[in-house]
Amino acid sequence: MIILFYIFSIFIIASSTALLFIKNLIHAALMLIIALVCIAGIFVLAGADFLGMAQIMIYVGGVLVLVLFGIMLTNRTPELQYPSSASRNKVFGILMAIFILVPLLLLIHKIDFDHLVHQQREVIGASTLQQIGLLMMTKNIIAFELAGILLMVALMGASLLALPTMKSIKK
Amino acid sequence: MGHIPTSYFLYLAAFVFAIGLAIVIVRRHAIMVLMGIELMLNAANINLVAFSRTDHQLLQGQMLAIFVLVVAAAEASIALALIINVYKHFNTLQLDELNHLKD
Repeated sequence: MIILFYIFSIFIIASSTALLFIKNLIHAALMLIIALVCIAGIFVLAGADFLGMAQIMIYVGGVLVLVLFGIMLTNRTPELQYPSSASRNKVFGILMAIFILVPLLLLIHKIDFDHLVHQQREVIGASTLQQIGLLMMTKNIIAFELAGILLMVALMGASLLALPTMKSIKK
Repeated sequence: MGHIPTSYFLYLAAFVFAIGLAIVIVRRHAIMVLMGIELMLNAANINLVAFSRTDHQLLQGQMLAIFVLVVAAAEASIALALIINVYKHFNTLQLDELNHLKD
């Protein structure tokens, strides 16, 4: 299992770091797809099988397809180049990332997380699908309904934003 | 068949979060910034799922991760609608050139 974890995490870190330097936007979106699919693999390794499949369906199959549409619709060069101009504040950005990363790593190194744990959900355990379904309908029902309302509002907002601009109807 | 310690997931999530943050700061194209934001949300999801491994009754980490997924999808769709509108108006998506409010 740890070998799989190492393989997935190498892919994730490699493709995310490549996102910092890739000029072509379509290639960047494909790198992000690799990262998200491998993150779904990490979810499955942590026992969250339904969440891994939901991640692939929603993120890769929904959000990233939408991002690719956005890239192709906002492309200015007539030939298929999809450039994004070079970044300017590379040093500052990487410095900020290191400033966040190093304290986090030190903190995680200090704490012993497995001290109180006797039994963790392995991959070859029970599937979480039925339990998530039951919990969603009983304990998390409020969040479920609110998420439905949020999605409906987002849908209405996105279609409103995508309408062609209408002339004012003031008399 | 080894047991993966929880700290491994947390290290990975910290890396992905830092890289997502670097992408948001470094890149100048609006869609690249959106990709960095999605990476940061996924790093938070990895953290939630790692801590939910021991919560067998309530699966609170996974439930929160599902709702983070839902909110991220809604936010990405609105962000793309905004990006397309900005492109229609300014004809560019380089964030440095969207400075019409400046003096």
